[in-house]
Amino acid sequence: MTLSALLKEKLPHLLGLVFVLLFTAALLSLLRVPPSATLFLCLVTALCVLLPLGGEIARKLRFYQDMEGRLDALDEKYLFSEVMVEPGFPEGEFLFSAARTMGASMAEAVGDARRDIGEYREYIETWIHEVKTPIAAARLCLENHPGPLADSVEDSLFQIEGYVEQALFYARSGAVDRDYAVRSLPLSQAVSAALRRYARPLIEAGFRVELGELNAVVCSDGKWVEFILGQLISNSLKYRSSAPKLTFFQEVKRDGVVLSLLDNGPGIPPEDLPRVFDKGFTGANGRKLSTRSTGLGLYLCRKLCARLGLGLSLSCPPGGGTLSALTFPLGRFHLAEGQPYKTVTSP
Amino acid sequence: MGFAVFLAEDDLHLRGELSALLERYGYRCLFPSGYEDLAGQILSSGAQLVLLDLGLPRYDGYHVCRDLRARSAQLPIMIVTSRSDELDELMSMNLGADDFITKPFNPQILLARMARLLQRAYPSGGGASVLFAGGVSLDLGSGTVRFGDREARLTRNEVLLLRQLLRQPGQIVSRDALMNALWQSDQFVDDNTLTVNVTRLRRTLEELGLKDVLITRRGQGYQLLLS
Repeated sequence: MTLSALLKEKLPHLLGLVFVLLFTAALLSLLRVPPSATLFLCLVTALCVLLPLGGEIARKLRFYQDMEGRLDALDEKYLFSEVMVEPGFPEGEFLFSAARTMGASMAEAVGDARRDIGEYREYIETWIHEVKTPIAAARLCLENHPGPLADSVEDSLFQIEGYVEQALFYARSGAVDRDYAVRSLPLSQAVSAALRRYARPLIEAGFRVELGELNAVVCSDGKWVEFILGQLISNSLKYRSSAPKLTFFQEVKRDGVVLSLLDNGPGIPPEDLPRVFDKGFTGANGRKLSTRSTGLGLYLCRKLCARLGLGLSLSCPPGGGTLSALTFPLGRFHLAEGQPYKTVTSP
Repeated sequence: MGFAVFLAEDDLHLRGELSALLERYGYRCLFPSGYEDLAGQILSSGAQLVLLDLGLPRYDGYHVCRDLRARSAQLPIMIVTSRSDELDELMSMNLGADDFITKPFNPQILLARMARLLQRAYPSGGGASVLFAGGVSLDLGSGTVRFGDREARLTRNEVLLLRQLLRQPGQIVSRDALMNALWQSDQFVDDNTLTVNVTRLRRTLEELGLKDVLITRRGQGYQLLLS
Protein backbone atom coordinates (compact mmCIF):
# COMPACT_ATOMS: atom_id res chain seq x y z
CA MET A 1 0.00 0.00 0.00
CA THR A 2 1.45 3.34 -1.03
CA LEU A 3 0.57 6.93 -0.24
CA SER A 4 -0.39 7.62 -3.86
CA ALA A 5 -2.86 4.73 -3.86
CA LEU A 6 -4.58 6.12 -0.77
CA LEU A 7 -4.59 9.64 -2.20
CA LYS A 8 -6.06 8.36 -5.43
CA GLU A 9 -8.91 6.84 -3.50
CA LYS A 10 -9.63 10.23 -1.93
CA LEU A 11 -9.44 12.06 -5.26
CA PRO A 12 -13.25 12.73 -5.44
CA HIS A 13 -13.12 14.28 -1.96
CA LEU A 14 -10.25 16.51 -2.97
CA LEU A 15 -11.92 17.50 -6.24
CA GLY A 16 -15.13 18.22 -4.30
CA LEU A 17 -13.15 20.39 -1.92
CA VAL A 18 -11.58 22.36 -4.77
CA PHE A 19 -15.02 22.82 -6.32
CA VAL A 20 -16.54 24.02 -3.03
CA LEU A 21 -13.64 26.43 -2.50
CA LEU A 22 -13.91 27.86 -6.02
CA PHE A 23 -17.68 28.12 -5.71
CA THR A 24 -17.40 29.86 -2.31
CA ALA A 25 -14.75 32.25 -3.60
CA ALA A 26 -16.86 33.13 -6.67
CA LEU A 27 -20.00 33.62 -4.58
CA LEU A 28 -18.25 35.78 -1.98
CA SER A 29 -16.58 37.93 -4.64
CA LEU A 30 -20.05 38.54 -6.20
CA LEU A 31 -21.25 39.60 -2.72
CA ARG A 32 -18.28 41.99 -2.57
CA VAL A 33 -16.72 40.41 0.50
CA PRO A 34 -13.11 41.54 0.86
CA PRO A 35 -10.58 39.06 -0.67
CA SER A 36 -8.75 38.62 2.64
CA ALA A 37 -11.97 37.43 4.34
CA THR A 38 -12.65 35.11 1.38
CA LEU A 39 -9.15 33.69 1.64
CA PHE A 40 -9.55 33.18 5.40
CA LEU A 41 -12.90 31.43 4.98
CA CYS A 42 -11.48 29.17 2.24
CA LEU A 43 -8.50 28.32 4.40
CA VAL A 44 -10.67 27.35 7.35
CA THR A 45 -12.93 25.23 5.13
CA ALA A 46 -9.94 23.50 3.54
CA LEU A 47 -8.38 22.76 6.91
CA CYS A 48 -11.66 21.34 8.22
CA VAL A 49 -11.62 18.80 5.41
CA LEU A 50 -7.89 18.20 4.91
CA LEU A 51 -6.88 17.65 8.54
CA PRO A 52 -9.19 14.67 9.24
CA LEU A 53 -8.52 13.34 5.74
CA GLY A 54 -4.76 13.51 6.27
CA GLY A 55 -5.12 11.87 9.67
CA GLU A 56 -7.12 9.04 8.15
CA ILE A 57 -4.65 8.52 5.33
CA ALA A 58 -1.69 8.53 7.73
CA ARG A 59 -3.41 6.01 10.01
CA LYS A 60 -4.31 3.69 7.16
CA LEU A 61 -0.88 3.97 5.58
CA ARG A 62 0.79 3.09 8.87
CA PHE A 63 -1.58 0.14 9.38
CA TYR A 64 -1.21 -1.30 5.90
CA GLN A 65 2.56 -0.96 5.88
CA ASP A 66 2.73 -2.63 9.27
CA MET A 67 0.56 -5.48 7.97
CA GLU A 68 2.70 -5.86 4.87
CA GLY A 69 5.76 -6.21 7.04
CA ARG A 70 4.10 -8.82 9.23
CA LEU A 71 2.89 -10.80 6.22
CA ASP A 72 6.37 -10.81 4.72
CA ALA A 73 7.88 -12.09 7.93
CA LEU A 74 5.38 -14.94 8.16
CA ASP A 75 6.33 -18.42 6.88
CA GLU A 76 2.85 -19.89 6.83
CA LYS A 77 0.90 -17.09 5.17
CA TYR A 78 -2.45 -18.62 6.05
CA LEU A 79 -1.77 -17.80 9.70
CA PHE A 80 -1.85 -14.06 8.85
CA SER A 81 -5.01 -13.39 10.84
CA GLU A 82 -3.15 -14.46 13.98
CA VAL A 83 -0.62 -11.65 13.66
CA MET A 84 -3.09 -8.95 12.54
CA VAL A 85 -3.78 -6.07 14.92
CA GLU A 86 -7.10 -4.28 15.23
CA PRO A 87 -7.21 -1.74 12.37
CA GLY A 88 -9.35 0.89 14.13
CA PHE A 89 -11.41 1.90 11.07
CA PRO A 90 -14.71 0.33 9.95
CA GLU A 91 -13.75 -1.34 6.63
CA GLY A 92 -10.65 -2.63 8.38
CA GLU A 93 -12.70 -3.96 11.27
CA PHE A 94 -14.90 -5.87 8.88
CA LEU A 95 -11.95 -7.36 7.01
CA PHE A 96 -10.23 -8.08 10.29
CA SER A 97 -13.08 -10.17 11.62
CA ALA A 98 -13.52 -11.85 8.23
CA ALA A 99 -9.82 -12.72 8.18
CA ARG A 100 -10.05 -14.09 11.73
CA THR A 101 -12.92 -16.38 10.77
CA MET A 102 -11.18 -17.40 7.58
CA GLY A 103 -7.93 -18.07 9.41
CA ALA A 104 -9.62 -20.22 12.01
CA SER A 105 -11.39 -22.33 9.42
CA MET A 106 -8.21 -22.60 7.37
CA ALA A 107 -6.16 -23.66 10.38
CA GLU A 108 -8.77 -26.29 11.13
CA ALA A 109 -8.76 -27.56 7.55
CA VAL A 110 -4.97 -27.69 7.48
CA GLY A 111 -4.93 -29.47 10.84
CA ASP A 112 -7.47 -32.01 9.58
CA ALA A 113 -5.49 -32.63 6.41
CA ARG A 114 -2.25 -33.04 8.38
CA ARG A 115 -3.88 -35.48 10.75
CA ASP A 116 -5.36 -37.44 7.86
CA ILE A 117 -1.97 -37.64 6.16
CA GLY A 118 -0.36 -38.65 9.44
CA GLU A 119 -2.91 -41.37 10.03
CA TYR A 120 -2.60 -42.60 6.49
CA ARG A 121 1.17 -42.70 6.78
CA GLU A 122 0.88 -44.58 10.04
CA TYR A 123 -1.48 -47.04 8.42
CA ILE A 124 0.92 -47.54 5.52
CA GLU A 125 3.81 -48.16 7.90
CA THR A 126 1.79 -50.63 9.94
CA TRP A 127 0.63 -52.34 6.81
CA ILE A 128 4.19 -52.63 5.56
CA HIS A 129 5.30 -54.16 8.83
CA GLU A 130 2.39 -56.56 8.75
CA VAL A 131 3.01 -57.68 5.20
CA LYS A 132 6.63 -58.49 5.94
CA THR A 133 5.61 -61.40 8.16
CA PRO A 134 3.82 -63.35 5.39
CA ILE A 135 6.71 -62.54 3.03
CA ALA A 136 9.10 -64.02 5.60
CA ALA A 137 6.85 -67.07 5.95
CA ALA A 138 6.71 -67.54 2.18
CA ARG A 139 10.48 -67.27 1.93
CA LEU A 140 10.93 -69.92 4.64
CA CYS A 141 8.41 -72.12 2.87
CA LEU A 142 10.50 -71.88 -0.31
CA GLU A 143 13.66 -72.66 1.64
CA ASN A 144 11.95 -75.76 3.03
CA HIS A 145 10.85 -76.91 -0.44
CA PRO A 146 13.72 -76.07 -2.79
CA GLY A 147 13.46 -76.57 -6.53
CA PRO A 148 12.97 -74.68 -9.79
CA LEU A 149 9.49 -73.59 -8.74
CA ALA A 150 10.86 -72.18 -5.51
CA ASP A 151 13.58 -70.32 -7.43
CA SER A 152 11.05 -68.68 -9.67
CA VAL A 153 8.71 -67.74 -6.82
CA GLU A 154 11.72 -66.43 -4.90
CA ASP A 155 12.40 -64.00 -7.76
CA SER A 156 8.86 -62.65 -7.55
CA LEU A 157 9.10 -62.48 -3.79
CA PHE A 158 12.27 -60.45 -4.13
CA GLN A 159 10.43 -57.97 -6.32
CA ILE A 160 7.52 -57.74 -3.90
CA GLU A 161 9.93 -57.08 -1.10
CA GLY A 162 11.57 -54.34 -3.14
CA TYR A 163 8.27 -52.57 -3.74
CA VAL A 164 7.30 -52.92 -0.09
CA GLU A 165 10.60 -51.42 0.99
CA GLN A 166 10.18 -48.56 -1.47
CA ALA A 167 6.72 -47.82 -0.08
CA LEU A 168 8.11 -47.77 3.44
CA PHE A 169 10.78 -45.27 2.55
CA TYR A 170 8.32 -43.22 0.54
CA ALA A 171 6.13 -42.93 3.63
CA ARG A 172 9.15 -42.06 5.75
CA SER A 173 10.57 -39.52 3.35
CA GLY A 174 7.66 -37.15 3.95
CA ALA A 175 7.40 -37.39 7.72
CA VAL A 176 9.06 -34.39 9.29
CA ASP A 177 8.82 -35.79 12.78
CA ARG A 178 10.32 -39.15 11.88
CA ASP A 179 13.71 -39.54 13.42
CA TYR A 180 16.51 -41.54 12.03
CA ALA A 181 19.51 -42.80 13.94
CA VAL A 182 22.77 -41.29 12.84
CA ARG A 183 25.61 -43.56 13.84
CA SER A 184 29.09 -44.07 12.58
CA LEU A 185 28.90 -46.14 9.45
CA PRO A 186 31.83 -47.72 7.64
CA LEU A 187 31.24 -47.31 3.91
CA SER A 188 32.32 -50.90 3.27
CA GLN A 189 29.56 -52.10 5.57
CA ALA A 190 26.87 -50.13 3.76
CA VAL A 191 28.06 -51.27 0.33
CA SER A 192 28.32 -54.92 1.40
CA ALA A 193 24.84 -54.89 2.90
CA ALA A 194 23.35 -53.46 -0.30
CA LEU A 195 25.24 -55.98 -2.44
CA ARG A 196 24.15 -58.90 -0.24
CA ARG A 197 20.56 -57.82 -0.62
CA TYR A 198 20.81 -57.62 -4.41
CA ALA A 199 23.00 -60.75 -4.68
CA ARG A 200 20.41 -62.90 -6.44
CA PRO A 201 19.54 -60.61 -9.35
CA LEU A 202 23.13 -59.40 -9.72
CA ILE A 203 24.49 -62.95 -9.93
CA GLU A 204 21.71 -63.99 -12.28
CA ALA A 205 22.55 -61.08 -14.58
CA GLY A 206 26.22 -62.06 -14.47
CA PHE A 207 27.49 -58.89 -12.83
CA ARG A 208 31.14 -58.45 -12.01
CA VAL A 209 31.61 -56.39 -8.86
CA GLU A 210 34.75 -54.45 -8.16
CA LEU A 211 35.30 -52.83 -4.81
CA GLY A 212 37.88 -50.11 -4.51
CA GLU A 213 39.31 -49.31 -1.13
CA LEU A 214 36.31 -48.45 1.04
CA ASN A 215 37.80 -47.58 4.39
CA ALA A 216 36.07 -44.29 5.19
CA VAL A 217 33.77 -44.15 8.17
CA VAL A 218 30.94 -41.64 7.84
CA CYS A 219 28.07 -40.76 10.14
CA SER A 220 24.63 -41.51 8.81
CA ASP A 221 21.65 -43.82 9.15
CA GLY A 222 22.77 -47.22 7.87
CA LYS A 223 19.33 -48.42 6.81
CA TRP A 224 18.62 -45.30 4.77
CA VAL A 225 22.00 -45.32 3.06
CA GLU A 226 21.60 -49.02 2.32
CA PHE A 227 18.23 -48.35 0.73
CA ILE A 228 19.62 -45.52 -1.41
CA LEU A 229 22.51 -47.71 -2.57
CA GLY A 230 20.00 -50.47 -3.29
CA GLN A 231 17.99 -48.17 -5.55
CA LEU A 232 21.16 -47.19 -7.42
CA ILE A 233 22.15 -50.85 -7.81
CA SER A 234 18.68 -51.72 -9.02
CA ASN A 235 19.01 -49.02 -11.71
CA SER A 236 22.31 -50.52 -12.82
CA LEU A 237 20.50 -53.87 -12.95
CA LYS A 238 17.70 -52.51 -15.10
CA TYR A 239 19.95 -50.72 -17.56
CA ARG A 240 22.92 -53.00 -18.14
CA SER A 241 25.23 -54.08 -20.88
CA SER A 242 25.88 -57.65 -21.98
CA ALA A 243 28.96 -57.98 -19.75
CA PRO A 244 27.70 -55.97 -16.81
CA LYS A 245 30.07 -54.55 -14.26
CA LEU A 246 29.68 -52.49 -11.10
CA THR A 247 32.49 -50.57 -9.42
CA PHE A 248 32.35 -48.95 -6.00
CA PHE A 249 35.01 -46.52 -4.88
CA GLN A 250 35.47 -43.70 -2.43
CA GLU A 251 37.13 -40.32 -2.58
CA VAL A 252 38.09 -38.62 0.66
CA LYS A 253 38.00 -34.89 0.05
CA ARG A 254 38.64 -31.92 2.28
CA ASP A 255 34.93 -31.20 2.71
CA GLY A 256 33.57 -34.72 2.76
CA VAL A 257 33.61 -38.26 1.48
CA VAL A 258 32.19 -39.25 -1.88
CA LEU A 259 31.02 -42.79 -2.42
CA SER A 260 30.74 -43.51 -6.14
CA LEU A 261 29.07 -46.32 -8.02
CA LEU A 262 30.01 -46.75 -11.64
CA ASP A 263 28.34 -49.18 -14.01
CA ASN A 264 29.05 -49.95 -17.65
CA GLY A 265 25.44 -49.73 -18.78
CA PRO A 266 24.06 -47.61 -21.62
CA GLY A 267 24.32 -44.38 -19.61
CA ILE A 268 21.72 -41.64 -19.63
CA PRO A 269 21.05 -39.44 -22.69
CA PRO A 270 22.31 -35.90 -21.93
CA GLU A 271 18.88 -34.38 -22.50
CA ASP A 272 17.40 -36.69 -19.82
CA LEU A 273 20.14 -36.13 -17.26
CA PRO A 274 18.73 -32.95 -15.68
CA ARG A 275 15.36 -34.61 -15.10
CA VAL A 276 16.29 -38.03 -13.69
CA PHE A 277 15.38 -36.98 -10.14
CA ASP A 278 11.91 -35.76 -11.16
CA LYS A 279 9.02 -37.79 -9.85
CA GLY A 280 7.61 -40.11 -12.49
CA PHE A 281 10.33 -39.34 -15.02
CA THR A 282 11.41 -42.46 -16.86
CA GLY A 283 13.30 -41.02 -19.83
CA ALA A 284 14.29 -42.67 -23.06
CA ASN A 285 16.02 -45.55 -21.26
CA GLY A 286 13.01 -46.19 -19.08
CA ARG A 287 10.75 -46.49 -22.09
CA LYS A 288 13.12 -48.50 -24.26
CA LEU A 289 15.10 -50.74 -21.95
CA SER A 290 12.92 -51.52 -19.00
CA THR A 291 9.32 -52.49 -18.63
CA ARG A 292 9.28 -51.76 -14.94
CA SER A 293 10.40 -48.19 -14.73
CA THR A 294 8.31 -46.25 -12.23
CA GLY A 295 10.32 -43.06 -12.12
CA LEU A 296 10.17 -43.24 -8.34
CA GLY A 297 13.53 -44.67 -7.31
CA LEU A 298 15.78 -41.70 -7.93
CA TYR A 299 13.11 -39.20 -6.89
CA LEU A 300 12.92 -40.98 -3.57
CA CYS A 301 16.72 -41.17 -3.27
CA ARG A 302 17.02 -37.44 -3.74
CA LYS A 303 14.33 -36.84 -1.12
CA LEU A 304 15.94 -39.14 1.42
CA CYS A 305 19.36 -37.63 0.73
CA ALA A 306 17.96 -34.18 1.35
CA ARG A 307 16.63 -35.31 4.71
CA LEU A 308 19.92 -36.94 5.65
CA GLY A 309 21.88 -33.96 4.38
CA LEU A 310 23.70 -36.01 1.76
CA GLY A 311 24.49 -35.02 -1.79
CA LEU A 312 23.51 -37.21 -4.72
CA SER A 313 24.47 -36.67 -8.32
CA LEU A 314 24.35 -38.71 -11.50
CA SER A 315 26.60 -38.22 -14.46
CA CYS A 316 27.78 -40.02 -17.55
CA PRO A 317 31.58 -40.12 -17.72
CA PRO A 318 33.18 -40.06 -21.17
CA GLY A 319 34.23 -43.70 -20.75
CA GLY A 320 30.57 -44.75 -20.79
CA GLY A 321 28.14 -46.00 -18.17
CA THR A 322 26.52 -44.12 -15.35
CA LEU A 323 28.33 -42.69 -12.36
CA SER A 324 26.30 -42.12 -9.20
CA ALA A 325 28.02 -40.14 -6.48
CA LEU A 326 26.78 -40.03 -2.92
CA THR A 327 28.43 -37.24 -0.93
CA PHE A 328 28.71 -37.34 2.85
CA PRO A 329 29.62 -33.75 3.63
CA LEU A 330 31.95 -32.89 6.42
CA GLY A 331 30.00 -31.00 9.01
CA ARG A 332 28.76 -30.99 12.54
CA PHE A 333 25.67 -33.00 11.61
CA HIS A 334 27.59 -35.85 10.06
CA LEU A 335 30.31 -36.23 12.59
CA ALA A 336 30.34 -37.67 16.01
CA GLU A 337 32.70 -35.19 17.64
CA GLY A 338 33.39 -32.73 14.88
CA GLN A 339 36.40 -34.81 13.92
CA PRO A 340 37.37 -35.10 10.30
CA TYR A 341 36.50 -38.38 8.68
CA LYS A 342 38.57 -41.21 9.94
CA THR A 343 39.53 -44.08 7.78
CA VAL A 344 40.06 -47.60 8.99
CA THR A 345 42.41 -50.00 7.36
CA SER A 346 40.63 -53.07 6.14
CA PRO A 347 41.73 -56.34 7.71
CA MET B 1 20.91 -83.53 20.12
CA GLY B 2 20.71 -80.00 18.78
CA PHE B 3 20.08 -76.79 20.62
CA ALA B 4 16.61 -75.97 21.93
CA VAL B 5 15.22 -72.79 20.39
CA PHE B 6 12.16 -71.00 21.71
CA LEU B 7 10.06 -69.36 18.99
CA ALA B 8 8.17 -66.44 20.50
CA GLU B 9 6.28 -65.62 17.32
CA ASP B 10 2.52 -65.30 17.07
CA ASP B 11 2.11 -65.74 13.32
CA LEU B 12 1.34 -69.45 13.09
CA HIS B 13 2.24 -69.87 9.44
CA LEU B 14 5.62 -68.22 9.89
CA ARG B 15 6.21 -70.20 13.07
CA GLY B 16 5.38 -73.46 11.30
CA GLU B 17 7.77 -72.80 8.43
CA LEU B 18 10.45 -71.54 10.78
CA SER B 19 10.27 -74.62 12.97
CA ALA B 20 10.35 -76.86 9.87
CA LEU B 21 13.51 -75.09 8.73
CA LEU B 22 15.17 -75.19 12.13
CA GLU B 23 14.32 -78.83 12.69
CA ARG B 24 15.82 -79.65 9.31
CA TYR B 25 19.02 -78.09 10.58
CA GLY B 26 18.96 -80.11 13.78
CA TYR B 27 17.41 -77.64 16.20
CA ARG B 28 14.66 -78.50 18.65
CA CYS B 29 11.82 -75.96 18.63
CA LEU B 30 9.72 -74.86 21.59
CA PHE B 31 6.57 -72.76 21.39
CA PRO B 32 4.65 -70.56 23.79
CA SER B 33 1.43 -72.02 25.13
CA GLY B 34 -0.05 -68.57 25.70
CA TYR B 35 1.20 -65.03 26.00
CA GLU B 36 0.91 -64.64 29.77
CA ASP B 37 4.29 -64.52 31.49
CA LEU B 38 6.19 -65.36 28.36
CA ALA B 39 9.53 -64.82 30.06
CA GLY B 40 8.64 -67.39 32.70
CA GLN B 41 7.59 -69.90 30.06
CA ILE B 42 10.81 -69.39 28.15
CA LEU B 43 12.98 -69.81 31.23
CA SER B 44 11.19 -72.94 32.40
CA SER B 45 11.21 -74.48 28.92
CA GLY B 46 14.96 -75.05 29.01
CA ALA B 47 15.48 -73.12 25.77
CA GLN B 48 19.06 -72.24 24.86
CA LEU B 49 18.15 -69.46 22.43
CA VAL B 50 15.07 -67.29 21.99
CA LEU B 51 13.80 -65.92 18.71
CA LEU B 52 11.63 -63.03 19.85
CA ASP B 53 9.10 -61.16 17.74
CA LEU B 54 8.54 -57.54 18.79
CA GLY B 55 4.84 -57.41 17.92
CA LEU B 56 3.45 -60.00 20.31
CA PRO B 57 -0.20 -60.01 21.41
CA ARG B 58 -0.15 -59.49 25.17
CA TYR B 59 3.02 -57.61 26.01
CA ASP B 60 5.27 -56.41 23.26
CA GLY B 61 8.65 -57.93 22.61
CA TYR B 62 10.50 -55.09 24.31
CA HIS B 63 8.72 -55.87 27.54
CA VAL B 64 9.45 -59.59 27.27
CA CYS B 65 13.06 -58.84 26.37
CA ARG B 66 13.57 -56.60 29.39
CA ASP B 67 11.84 -59.14 31.63
CA LEU B 68 13.95 -62.01 30.30
CA ARG B 69 17.18 -60.11 30.64
CA ALA B 70 16.32 -59.20 34.22
CA ARG B 71 15.77 -62.85 35.09
CA SER B 72 18.54 -64.45 33.06
CA ALA B 73 21.75 -62.69 32.15
CA GLN B 74 23.08 -65.39 29.81
CA LEU B 75 20.22 -66.63 27.64
CA PRO B 76 20.89 -65.45 24.08
CA ILE B 77 18.00 -63.39 22.71
CA MET B 78 17.59 -62.72 19.03
CA ILE B 79 14.96 -60.20 17.97
CA VAL B 80 13.14 -61.18 14.77
CA THR B 81 10.93 -58.33 13.69
CA SER B 82 9.34 -56.56 10.77
CA ARG B 83 10.18 -53.16 12.25
CA SER B 84 13.28 -52.12 10.41
CA ASP B 85 14.26 -48.83 12.04
CA GLU B 86 17.73 -48.23 13.33
CA LEU B 87 15.96 -46.95 16.42
CA ASP B 88 14.18 -50.26 17.00
CA GLU B 89 17.50 -52.01 16.70
CA LEU B 90 19.17 -49.62 19.14
CA MET B 91 16.31 -49.99 21.57
CA SER B 92 16.45 -53.80 21.39
CA MET B 93 20.16 -53.83 22.00
CA ASN B 94 19.76 -51.46 24.93
CA LEU B 95 17.20 -53.81 26.46
CA GLY B 96 19.69 -56.64 26.33
CA ALA B 97 18.99 -58.44 23.07
CA ASP B 98 22.06 -60.11 21.52
CA ASP B 99 21.11 -59.85 17.87
CA PHE B 100 18.50 -58.25 15.66
CA ILE B 101 17.25 -59.50 12.30
CA THR B 102 14.44 -58.02 10.24
CA LYS B 103 11.72 -59.82 8.34
CA PRO B 104 11.69 -60.93 5.63
CA PHE B 105 15.09 -62.37 6.42
CA ASN B 106 17.26 -64.60 4.32
CA PRO B 107 16.89 -68.05 5.98
CA GLN B 108 20.56 -68.85 5.55
CA ILE B 109 21.54 -65.61 7.24
CA LEU B 110 19.21 -66.38 10.13
CA LEU B 111 20.83 -69.79 10.51
CA ALA B 112 24.32 -68.34 10.34
CA ARG B 113 23.58 -65.69 12.95
CA MET B 114 21.90 -68.23 15.23
CA ALA B 115 24.93 -70.51 14.95
CA ARG B 116 27.27 -67.63 15.75
CA LEU B 117 25.20 -66.62 18.76
CA LEU B 118 25.06 -70.18 20.08
CA GLN B 119 28.76 -70.68 19.48
CA ARG B 120 29.48 -67.59 21.55
CA ALA B 121 27.06 -68.47 24.35
CA TYR B 122 27.96 -72.16 24.59
CA PRO B 123 31.58 -72.48 23.43
CA SER B 124 31.81 -76.10 24.52
CA GLY B 125 28.45 -77.00 23.04
CA GLY B 126 30.05 -77.88 19.70
CA GLY B 127 27.92 -79.73 17.20
CA ALA B 128 26.53 -76.82 15.28
CA SER B 129 29.86 -75.75 13.79
CA VAL B 130 30.87 -79.13 12.34
CA LEU B 131 29.13 -80.56 9.28
CA PHE B 132 29.24 -84.30 8.52
CA ALA B 133 28.31 -86.17 5.37
CA GLY B 134 29.54 -89.44 3.90
CA GLY B 135 32.65 -89.66 6.08
CA VAL B 136 33.66 -86.07 5.37
CA SER B 137 33.63 -83.60 8.21
CA LEU B 138 33.99 -79.86 7.86
CA ASP B 139 34.89 -77.79 10.90
CA LEU B 140 33.47 -74.36 10.15
CA GLY B 141 35.34 -72.75 13.01
CA SER B 142 38.86 -73.72 12.01
CA GLY B 143 38.13 -74.23 8.32
CA THR B 144 39.54 -77.77 8.21
CA VAL B 145 38.10 -80.68 6.29
CA ARG B 146 38.72 -84.27 7.40
CA PHE B 147 38.32 -87.56 5.62
CA GLY B 148 39.55 -90.72 7.25
CA ASP B 149 42.78 -89.83 9.00
CA ARG B 150 43.75 -87.08 6.62
CA GLU B 151 42.88 -83.43 6.98
CA ALA B 152 43.42 -80.22 5.05
CA ARG B 153 43.00 -76.53 5.65
CA LEU B 154 40.63 -74.70 3.32
CA THR B 155 40.51 -71.08 2.28
CA ARG B 156 37.53 -69.02 3.36
CA ASN B 157 35.82 -69.32 -0.01
CA GLU B 158 36.40 -73.06 -0.14
CA VAL B 159 34.84 -73.48 3.30
CA LEU B 160 31.77 -71.57 2.14
CA LEU B 161 31.49 -73.67 -1.02
CA LEU B 162 31.97 -76.99 0.74
CA ARG B 163 29.47 -75.99 3.40
CA GLN B 164 26.87 -75.27 0.75
CA LEU B 165 27.57 -78.58 -1.01
CA LEU B 166 27.58 -80.62 2.22
CA ARG B 167 24.13 -79.30 3.05
CA GLN B 168 22.68 -81.04 0.02
CA PRO B 169 24.99 -84.02 -0.62
CA GLY B 170 24.11 -85.84 -3.81
CA GLN B 171 22.01 -82.98 -5.11
CA ILE B 172 22.97 -80.59 -7.86
CA VAL B 173 23.76 -77.17 -6.47
CA SER B 174 23.51 -74.41 -9.06
CA ARG B 175 26.39 -72.05 -9.73
CA ASP B 176 24.13 -69.15 -8.78
CA ALA B 177 23.36 -70.71 -5.41
CA LEU B 178 27.06 -71.24 -4.72
CA MET B 179 27.86 -67.69 -5.73
CA ASN B 180 25.04 -66.40 -3.57
CA ALA B 181 26.48 -68.29 -0.60
CA LEU B 182 29.80 -66.52 -1.18
CA TRP B 183 28.14 -63.14 -1.66
CA GLN B 184 26.22 -63.50 1.59
CA SER B 185 29.61 -63.74 3.29
CA ASP B 186 30.77 -60.55 1.55
CA GLN B 187 32.84 -62.39 -1.07
CA PHE B 188 31.48 -60.72 -4.20
CA VAL B 189 33.09 -63.11 -6.67
CA ASP B 190 32.30 -63.42 -10.35
CA ASP B 191 31.80 -66.49 -12.48
CA ASN B 192 35.49 -67.06 -13.24
CA THR B 193 36.52 -66.82 -9.61
CA LEU B 194 33.88 -69.39 -8.73
CA THR B 195 35.32 -71.80 -11.28
CA VAL B 196 38.82 -71.27 -9.90
CA ASN B 197 37.61 -71.82 -6.34
CA VAL B 198 35.73 -74.98 -7.22
CA THR B 199 38.78 -76.35 -9.07
CA ARG B 200 40.95 -75.67 -6.06
CA LEU B 201 38.43 -77.29 -3.71
CA ARG B 202 38.29 -80.32 -6.01
CA ARG B 203 42.08 -80.63 -5.89
CA THR B 204 42.10 -80.40 -2.09
CA LEU B 205 39.46 -83.12 -1.86
CA GLU B 206 41.50 -85.29 -4.22
CA GLU B 207 44.52 -84.88 -1.97
CA LEU B 208 42.39 -86.22 0.87
CA GLY B 209 41.64 -89.28 -1.23
CA LEU B 210 38.23 -88.13 -2.42
CA LYS B 211 38.62 -88.54 -6.16
CA ASP B 212 35.83 -87.57 -8.54
CA VAL B 213 33.38 -86.60 -5.82
CA LEU B 214 32.83 -83.01 -6.93
CA ILE B 215 31.24 -83.31 -10.32
CA THR B 216 30.51 -80.54 -12.79
CA ARG B 217 27.01 -80.72 -14.26
CA ARG B 218 27.24 -78.65 -17.41
CA GLY B 219 24.66 -75.89 -17.43
CA GLN B 220 23.27 -76.93 -14.08
CA GLY B 221 25.93 -76.65 -11.41
CA TYR B 222 27.94 -78.93 -9.17
CA GLN B 223 27.19 -82.14 -7.39
CA LEU B 224 28.96 -83.62 -4.38
CA LEU B 225 28.74 -87.41 -4.61
CA LEU B 226 29.91 -89.09 -1.40
CA SER B 227 29.63 -92.81 -0.92
